[in-house]
Amino acid sequence: MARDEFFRDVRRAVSFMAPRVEADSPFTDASYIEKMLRGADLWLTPKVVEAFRPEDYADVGERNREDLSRAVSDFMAVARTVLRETPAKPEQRDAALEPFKRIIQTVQSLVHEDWIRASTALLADAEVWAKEEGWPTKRFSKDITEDFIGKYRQDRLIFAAEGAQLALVPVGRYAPGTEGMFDLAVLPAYDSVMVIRQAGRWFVHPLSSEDRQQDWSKDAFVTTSLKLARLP
Amino acid sequence: MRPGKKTDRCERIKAVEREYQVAELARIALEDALTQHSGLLSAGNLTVVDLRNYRSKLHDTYFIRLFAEFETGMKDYWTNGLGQDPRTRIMDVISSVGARCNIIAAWRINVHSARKYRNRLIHEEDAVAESVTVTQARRDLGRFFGSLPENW
Repeated sequence: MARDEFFRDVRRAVSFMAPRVEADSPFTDASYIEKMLRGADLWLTPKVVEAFRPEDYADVGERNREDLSRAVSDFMAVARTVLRETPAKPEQRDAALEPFKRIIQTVQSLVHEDWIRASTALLADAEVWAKEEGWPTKRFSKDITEDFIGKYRQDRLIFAAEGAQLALVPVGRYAPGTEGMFDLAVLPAYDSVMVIRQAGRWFVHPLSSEDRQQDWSKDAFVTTSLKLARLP
Repeated sequence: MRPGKKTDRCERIKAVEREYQVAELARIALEDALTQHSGLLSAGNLTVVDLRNYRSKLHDTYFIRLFAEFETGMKDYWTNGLGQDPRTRIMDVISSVGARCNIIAAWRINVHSARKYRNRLIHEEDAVAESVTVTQARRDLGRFFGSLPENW
């Protein structure tokens, strides 16, 4: 999907220049971003926004959609003037900086909203299914910090099955090869399976290498939870 | 009960295991890439010997980090939860907390096995200590730590 590709390209362009400091989430610090973008120009290329298609943002509010389209077009106008063989001139960098910062902020916000929506729906599914099984449930919030989308809060779902305490715990939006990941774990040993999101769908990883990945469903959730609860 | 210091620490221990799993995947990818481009190492002024060392030390490096998360949490509970002397050896902290919290004997033994293996790795003590995998240690340390109160 072009939208995912565009998000990936923007994130990658920013990643080139930021150190991996998990604690203070540099990607969401506007002044830090400006400083690092001024220091290098690897991001100043039309390729970064090549995958942008306005029609992919029909679900986004009109104002945001127009802002993003304008920022992409302003950025592209400058990026096209930068010669491939030579570094960008300071005035080119300055001209591209503002639109690129607007692109970054919009993408961060869209990724964050999408992730919160998807992860909240996953938790709601699990909570309903656990209650249908007669398993007591509780939710507790967890603070998460990720490079690109910064700090946010999401719930972990704690529930009990067959005398074991289990938890569905958010790991993060950015996990290699996925669009988000949770751990379904038995406490306190934390033996777990991964619940991953790919192409907008959730899947449950198998507990043993002999089993196969399952679509996220009540059956997959219940059987996997029981397998975890029954671990020695 | 609302997750507190105990749950946070258990999740940190789990996160180290996850990082180790990523590192193992990265090692496999690197070794695969090296079969296609043998110059990858020399470009970074590295040799096959460095790769061999990396491979052999990868597990131990993460094991030490995993145990450090557990040890930090235990010392925090010992000092701030129980008001005990922070200079107490971790061996004694584990034994004392195990007794105070009525932790199952098998779990205590497993945690001491992990401690001895950690000592073997960093102090070259306990040379006869049996190897413990990161996953086994995460399970044993998590169970032990999970027997503590949620907050202190």
